[in-house]
Amino acid sequence: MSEVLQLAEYLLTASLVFVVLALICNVVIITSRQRRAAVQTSERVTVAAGVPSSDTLVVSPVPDRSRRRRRRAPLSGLAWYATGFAAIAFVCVLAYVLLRMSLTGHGPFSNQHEFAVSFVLGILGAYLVVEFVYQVRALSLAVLPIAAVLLLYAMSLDAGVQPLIPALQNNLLLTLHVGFAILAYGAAAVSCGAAALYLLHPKLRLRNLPARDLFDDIGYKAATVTFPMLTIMIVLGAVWANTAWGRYWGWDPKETAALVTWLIYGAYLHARVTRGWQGTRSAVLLLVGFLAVLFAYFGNHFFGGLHSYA
Amino acid sequence: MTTDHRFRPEAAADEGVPTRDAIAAHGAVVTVDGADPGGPKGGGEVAVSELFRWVYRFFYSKTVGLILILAMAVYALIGSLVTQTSAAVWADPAQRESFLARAEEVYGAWTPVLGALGLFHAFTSVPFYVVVTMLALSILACTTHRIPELWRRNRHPHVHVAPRFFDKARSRGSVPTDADPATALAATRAVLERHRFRVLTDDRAPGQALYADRHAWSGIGTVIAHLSFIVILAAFVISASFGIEEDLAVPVGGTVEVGHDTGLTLTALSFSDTYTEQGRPADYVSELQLRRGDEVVAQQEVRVNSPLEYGGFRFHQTTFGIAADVRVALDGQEVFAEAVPLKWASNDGANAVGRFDLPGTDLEVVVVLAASGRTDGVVPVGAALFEIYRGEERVDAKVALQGAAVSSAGHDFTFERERQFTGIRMRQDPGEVWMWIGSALLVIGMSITFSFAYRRLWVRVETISEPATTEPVEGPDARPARLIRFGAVERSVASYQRLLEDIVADLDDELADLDAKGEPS
Ligand code: HEM
Repeated sequence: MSEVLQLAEYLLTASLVFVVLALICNVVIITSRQRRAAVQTSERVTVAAGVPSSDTLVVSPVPDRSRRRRRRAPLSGLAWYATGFAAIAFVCVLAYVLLRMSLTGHGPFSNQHEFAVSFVLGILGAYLVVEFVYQVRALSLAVLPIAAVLLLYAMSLDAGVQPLIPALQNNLLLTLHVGFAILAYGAAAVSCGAAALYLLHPKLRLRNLPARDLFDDIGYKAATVTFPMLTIMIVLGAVWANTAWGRYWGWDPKETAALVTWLIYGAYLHARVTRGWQGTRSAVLLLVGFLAVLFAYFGNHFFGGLHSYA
Repeated sequence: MTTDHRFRPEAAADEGVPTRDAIAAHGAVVTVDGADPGGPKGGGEVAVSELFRWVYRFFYSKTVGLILILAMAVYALIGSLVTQTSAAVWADPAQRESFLARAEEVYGAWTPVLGALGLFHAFTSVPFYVVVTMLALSILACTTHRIPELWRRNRHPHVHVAPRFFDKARSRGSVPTDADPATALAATRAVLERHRFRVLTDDRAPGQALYADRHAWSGIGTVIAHLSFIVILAAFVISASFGIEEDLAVPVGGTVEVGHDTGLTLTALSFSDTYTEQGRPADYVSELQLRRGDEVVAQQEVRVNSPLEYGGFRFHQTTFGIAADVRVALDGQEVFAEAVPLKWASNDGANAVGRFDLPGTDLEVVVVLAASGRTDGVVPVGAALFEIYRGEERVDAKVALQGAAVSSAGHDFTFERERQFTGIRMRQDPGEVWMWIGSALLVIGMSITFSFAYRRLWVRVETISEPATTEPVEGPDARPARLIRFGAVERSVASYQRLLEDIVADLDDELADLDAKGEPS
């Protein structure tokens, strides 16, 4: 079994290589003089010239009907490679996680290594979805480095397989709990990346950078995924704690950190909906939210508590 | 993944849409014939209902809500940083004394301050109840405040807008067409309905304008999410206030009473702990038996993730170790007979130490035994040292040989034997079910809010006035006769832009198809 695991770790190395390659391709595309590689506006409609303010949107149909129905222009040239590399990196991590799950017989939750790899899986998955939906590769500049650093971190940790301590012997609940954490944290990383790009936008002199507001929108959309996923994660954690320790909430430091994270994303959504917060202030809240995610995630290094099994 | 864009009254106002504030303001104007419009003259004329309105306004203030949430966050911090005890321990003077004595070792001179503020039982303290109640009221008021508007947006949407709205709307679109207005509107309606919009006709501009919205009902999601949070708060308060949590040290092969008027006894038939080769714990399991009198009502192997459940009580495996069976009598009456878990080791590791509070007194008793395999401790093997404390002060200390009683502080202490115990946490939590109901509602409400974004737009068919001087042009350069205009108040964000683009493009296609069919070739 351990030889298989050692071989499996090459998947992580491969993934890291592909993440870096994807990042390089995207940097080239975004700084390229050639053409606007990032397909920003759909080809089905024109956005009227002389738009009064960036806050206003005017659409009218493209005269040439044959050019329509191609919002997602087929990937070509370097963009094809950039997306391909990111997708391969995702598949490598996914394969690694699945292989490990089949060898250990439980979800990726027994130690920090497994969870770091899962975190990367969530980030790459969320990134690919957003790249596809929004056709925006500039996001990779902020998100892929996070994935790369976490991969390096995961590879530096002990990848050995240990039997589960008794508290963790609850496969279904824990797999679900960690599964939702992966979704929440992946989306959180994307919304943090979008917020960072929003804040840096005026300073970045990149040729093919999409409009600043797009990052505000992506940050918000990702947060509307993070928040419900965090909620489900916390509820599942509470259900598990209730069976394992006999109480659904114990103010364990990790629980408290998760609650604080939840409150920050809640504050972000409320500020946006009820106070009309947009732009800089709400982008800062997203950065704070992701810091809280990292704190909750690395928390067991700072404080003990019942979650300190890793 | 969709957005809920806030309806911006200030933006809407200059776009010709009456704001909800304006509507509310109209509703609030009450004219009574003959009444002085200058308002009440003396303090006595303020209606009693004004008080309630004032309270209501106080609670739906977002600032108040924010402050309350911050107060809750402070309590969360306290709950995780300051050692907490249960309401039951706090209510019992003797137990409280001994708890405070131990707390003083950690918090020193701050102990009385923390105690006075109720921070050692933060979640059952009066200030916390006040904060929670106010937060619940705040959420209730916020939600209630929004219900009429949510209702209105679903049942009585604002169908009509002024023509100039289409010049100023945040998001605008237009499709040129030669079709007559009725055909153009019919095509628009068809396209919008295909995009799952509800389409209503604007009766004030018949044959000319439409109103359309999508998911106008989804405001119910916000209502559910907010009300569910009240349920969660209530569940937490119920758990903290009425939940029972007790750690039982059950000697292996021995029996303890469950108490709480259940008439139940709990017996640990066996206990085993297994380890991996590296010495990591692999499994802890107690075979537990629950009896009422002689009748066995439940029996089960209890592991960390599989507690025994019976009659609203749950028994969880939490710990295990060595315990000393101790008996204490007062004037020949037995006042204490339990296995005292020896949870601590002395600094040199030579002794195992446990403690208990002596019922009916403010005394704390520390039991010291020789650690297994050690003969170098303060206590000889086969004996126990009883140290009696009142607060910080050591009242007495006596060594008792196994089975022989010693007298101290007016009581007789007997060390019966040393044996293994399994640590079982007993729980009964009436708040639990509410917690799950609240959580489920929260997730449902949130999912509705975030998956079914409320969208609306207005449509108007305008005939383009031909400049009087130019001749009508034939051929591809012909100016279209009409423009189908779209307007929405949402801010221009990518997702809304795409929706609008889709609608505009689809409508253009639809009209082209109609054109192709209608024209004899
Ligand atoms: C901590 C518990 C709370 C939770 C979980 C919660 C949750 C939510 C959610 C999910 C939304 C929808 C956000 C969106 O549409 O993007 C929302 C909106 C809102 N919340 Fe809360 N909320 C809480 C407390 C409060 C409190 C205490 C207040 C009032 C002081 C409040 C007032 C509002 C208002 C006015 C909206 C706007 C609703 C809308 O535009 O649809 N919330 N809340």
